[in-house]
Amino acid sequence: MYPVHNEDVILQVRGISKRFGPRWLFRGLDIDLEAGDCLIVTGKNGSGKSTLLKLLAGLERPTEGTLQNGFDNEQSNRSYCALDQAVFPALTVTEHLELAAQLRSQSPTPHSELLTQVGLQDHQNHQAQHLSSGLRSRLKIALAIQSQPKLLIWDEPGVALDEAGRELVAKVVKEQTQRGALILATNDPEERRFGTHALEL
Amino acid sequence: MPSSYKPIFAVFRKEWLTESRTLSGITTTGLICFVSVVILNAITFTTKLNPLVAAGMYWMVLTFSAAISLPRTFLQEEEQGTADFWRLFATPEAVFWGKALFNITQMLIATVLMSVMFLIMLPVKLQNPIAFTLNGLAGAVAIASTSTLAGAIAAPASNRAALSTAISVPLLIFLINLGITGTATALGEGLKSGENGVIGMIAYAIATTTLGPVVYSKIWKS
Repeated sequence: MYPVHNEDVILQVRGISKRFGPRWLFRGLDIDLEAGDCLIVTGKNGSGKSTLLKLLAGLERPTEGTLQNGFDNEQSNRSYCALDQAVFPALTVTEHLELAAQLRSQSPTPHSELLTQVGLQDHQNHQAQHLSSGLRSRLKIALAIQSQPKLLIWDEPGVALDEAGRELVAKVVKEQTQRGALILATNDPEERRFGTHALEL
Repeated sequence: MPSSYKPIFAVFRKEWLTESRTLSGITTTGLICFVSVVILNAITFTTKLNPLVAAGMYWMVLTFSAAISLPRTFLQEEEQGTADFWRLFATPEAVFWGKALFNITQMLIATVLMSVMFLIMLPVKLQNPIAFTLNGLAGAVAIASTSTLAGAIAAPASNRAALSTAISVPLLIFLINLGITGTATALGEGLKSGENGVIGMIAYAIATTTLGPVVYSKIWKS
């Protein structure tokens, strides 16, 4: 990824393609995101939604195409949250947040407000291996929004979450579009309503 | 070395916390060392050991315990799916340095314990304790940094555990040779001081820890 010198631009993607063996998952996608945008990525199972989001998060490399973003520090300004994203089994909730903050060289800040926001205030000293899948999803949300990123990439946000968790998703989406931009991969009709743009694969 | 030490110590702290709760690395290293020394003790109970043979046994045990347990700091990240965590939050240099620092600490502890068991349980006579100590500690640092590099190289492969051992062994052969010479000297073989071996191993450790982040960075980006 290369930074673009336009303050409004969060992400600029040109001609991005991904191929696995002889099969093209998607070809020649262009994406432009500015502050306040929420891009909804939809598609059937196996259409490449999760792969596209991993490409945009920098976890995979495209076969073709370029990605440019409008910020410098990718670790702090670009966040990714997904159901299949693993956390460290032996670390507690608080230790995960401390680790992420230290890796980003952020100053140590109390995590109590963030933990309360994602509903983990009663689980802060529990190891990740002892959390339910819903609580682990909340931990991943906390990690993703901890640095208040300019771009949040979120794969299947509501999966494994209860009603309160879905309300949390709505709140995070609202805050993120006020702060920067958001990309959601979802087939949930409720979550599709958050979108300002749509991309079907 | 990266400009900020904070992320390096964050990686080291994560490894330390995980190890203190699972004890997987130190248990593997400790058990290999303990069982090997006990077996060697049973075999050589009544036989006076030639210093060169004793030094060879000492380095064989240390090398194999390290080659099996130390690359796990990288291998387990791929196995449990947490490698993406580092790619999202950290730089490859911080991850490599943090894990290398942890492996060096673990190997130093294992070497001290192994050396004590070795001297107590095997029929060897220590002629030069300072040379023995320096040689062992320098070797521990060099073995740990080399094994860390092997783990980093092998981690993305599908047969990563076998590959890391296969990469470690040729990288460690030169080190083992230096270590055996130094330890044999300390146990009374020859009149050399063993300084060259210690210097050689420190140079090897510096080379692998300097090369490691560069190699790991290339793997990370590919």
